[in-house]
Amino acid sequence: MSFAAANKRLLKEYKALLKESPEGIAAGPIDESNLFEWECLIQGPEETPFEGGVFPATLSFPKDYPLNPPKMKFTCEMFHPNVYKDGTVCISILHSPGDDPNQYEDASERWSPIQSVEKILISVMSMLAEPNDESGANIDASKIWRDDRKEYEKRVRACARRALGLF
Amino acid sequence: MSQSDSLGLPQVAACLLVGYFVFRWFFKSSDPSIVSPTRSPVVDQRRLQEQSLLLTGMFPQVSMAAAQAELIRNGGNIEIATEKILAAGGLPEPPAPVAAPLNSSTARPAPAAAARRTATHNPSGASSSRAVGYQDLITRYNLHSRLHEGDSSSSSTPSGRGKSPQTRSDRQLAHQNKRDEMILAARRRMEEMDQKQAAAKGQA
Repeated sequence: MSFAAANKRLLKEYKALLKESPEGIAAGPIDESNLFEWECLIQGPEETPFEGGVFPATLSFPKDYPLNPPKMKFTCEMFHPNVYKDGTVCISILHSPGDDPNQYEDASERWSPIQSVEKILISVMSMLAEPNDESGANIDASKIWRDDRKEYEKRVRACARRALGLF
Repeated sequence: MSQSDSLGLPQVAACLLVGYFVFRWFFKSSDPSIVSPTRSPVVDQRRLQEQSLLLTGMFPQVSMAAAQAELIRNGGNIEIATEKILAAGGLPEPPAPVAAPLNSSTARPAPAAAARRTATHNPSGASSSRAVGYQDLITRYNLHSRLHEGDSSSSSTPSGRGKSPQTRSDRQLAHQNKRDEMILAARRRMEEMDQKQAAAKGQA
């Protein structure tokens, strides 16, 4: 039952995103025969070292979506305090209301069925612009972001260029 | 009245049903050992899968293969694995032959999908030199040929904004168009910036 509901909801969100999506975001199923695996692109926010870059990621939805949030994983090299080295994104909107691994998030920041793919991607975009110092996922990136902003920006720019095939 | 007289259709049906489930249960529980006779019977595949999912959920920095290897090593004890990760900050990657058969295909959808795409779009297999790292977007979506066709092409392709494609293939096309345009536009901007910088350097 919930599987059918998830399918329906995902198709609806996909159609809505195709019709009109916010600037700098593209998202859709890798193949529409499986609506639970999406690929998405996020443009680097302006006036940040991510500016000019386009960053690909996958969204893996649970069978009970939208009760539970999808998992998001960047499929390019990323250097960001809240992105694990394997690309997994650590952001409060992707945490289900039940589990709070860090015990600091407000329930309203976390996942709920009224959130959407669009809201996730917008949140991740603003996360790129403003890392959350409290939930370090990549310790090296957190440290360099805090102590040596120049070096951080250099590394981020290198990631952005590599993702676009420029070296 | 003997008992056999009162044995009606519902009872027979119930007996058959119970028998069927017992039969199935037997087959199911013995199945993994048939599939993999070499592996230690203590570690049940499905349990292993669930436990390693749990571990990688708690510690995303631990790979699926490393979690499974650790669980096999300690006999499926999730507490030991957790403590080990907390103490060492991670788990050692298992050698490739151990990881390969255990790696579930669902655990890493992204590289698999990317590989599938290059296999279909890029049959010559031109770029396998950077197999370890991530593929850049131009290579991944096979956009090399479109790199220098200029901005004029973007006006001929539907923007996908404002109207809704009706069929599945239309949607796929609209999504792919939007995706490719986004990548190409970013790449062009980045190259322009490079040229400006080079020009500024040349003048200085």
